[in-house]
Amino acid sequence: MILSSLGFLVEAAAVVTLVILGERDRDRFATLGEILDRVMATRAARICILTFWWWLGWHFLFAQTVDPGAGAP
Amino acid sequence: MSEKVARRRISWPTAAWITILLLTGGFQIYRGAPVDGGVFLAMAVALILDLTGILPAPRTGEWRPSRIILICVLGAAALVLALTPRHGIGDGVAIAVSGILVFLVAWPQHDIDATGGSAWTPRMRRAATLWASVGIAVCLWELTMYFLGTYVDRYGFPALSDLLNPLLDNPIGRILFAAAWLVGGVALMRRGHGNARLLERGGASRHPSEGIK
Repeated sequence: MILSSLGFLVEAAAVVTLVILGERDRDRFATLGEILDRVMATRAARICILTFWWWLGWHFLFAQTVDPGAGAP
Repeated sequence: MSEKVARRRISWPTAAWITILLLTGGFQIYRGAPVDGGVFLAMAVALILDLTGILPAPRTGEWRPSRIILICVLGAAALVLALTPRHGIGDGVAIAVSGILVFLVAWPQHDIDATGGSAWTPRMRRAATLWASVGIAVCLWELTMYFLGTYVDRYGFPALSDLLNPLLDNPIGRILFAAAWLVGGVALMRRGHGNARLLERGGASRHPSEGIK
């Protein structure tokens, strides 16, 4: 569990770092908003990103994310 | 008949996005979530049909919901997600309706694909590369934990769902997640539309050093 949590925490830290980098060093790095503005100009990217957004809500709020019987000792 | 079918040029980014949908849909079906997989695959198929020109072009042009409609839908979805039990039918309906509305808005928007190269300035490429790297790392780590958890030890190598499940079972955690999800969806919708207007005006970046392309 520690290894898994550590990995996700490192990735969360990387996300925060990139957000800060985009805001504080705009001469060298674009912000996430600018990247999304450019990427989501095409229908395929827009639909793909919005499908992932929708799925996050579906998966975590409605669907059964954890199979109660799976992995039981 | 074939003369009337206007095929769109297939760029490699478009092919990559469709491939991501296909791979994700296939994985969802593999992990035993056919509905989730079906949604990803349906989106991929819709985009492929769109590229072939089989799907009719939207006749009404871009449709954007008024602020009142947006507030009503957001408010209703937020109330349902906050007040009804997690995994309940209310959550399912609210999320499904939200998804349908979002795609009704997102699909007809014109595809602004021209001058893709000039819009990608070095600072944008740099940032996009880093963001893509982090995104791929998250996906690979989640996949690794999924397979280790499935075939080695579920408790030793929990996937993100296992880690977040206790937080989402808590009412406050669920409300915070639902709020973030709804706000995130609105933000993403605004991004896509905002860019279309920006590019139609001839600009690709808000950074003063890049000027207007």
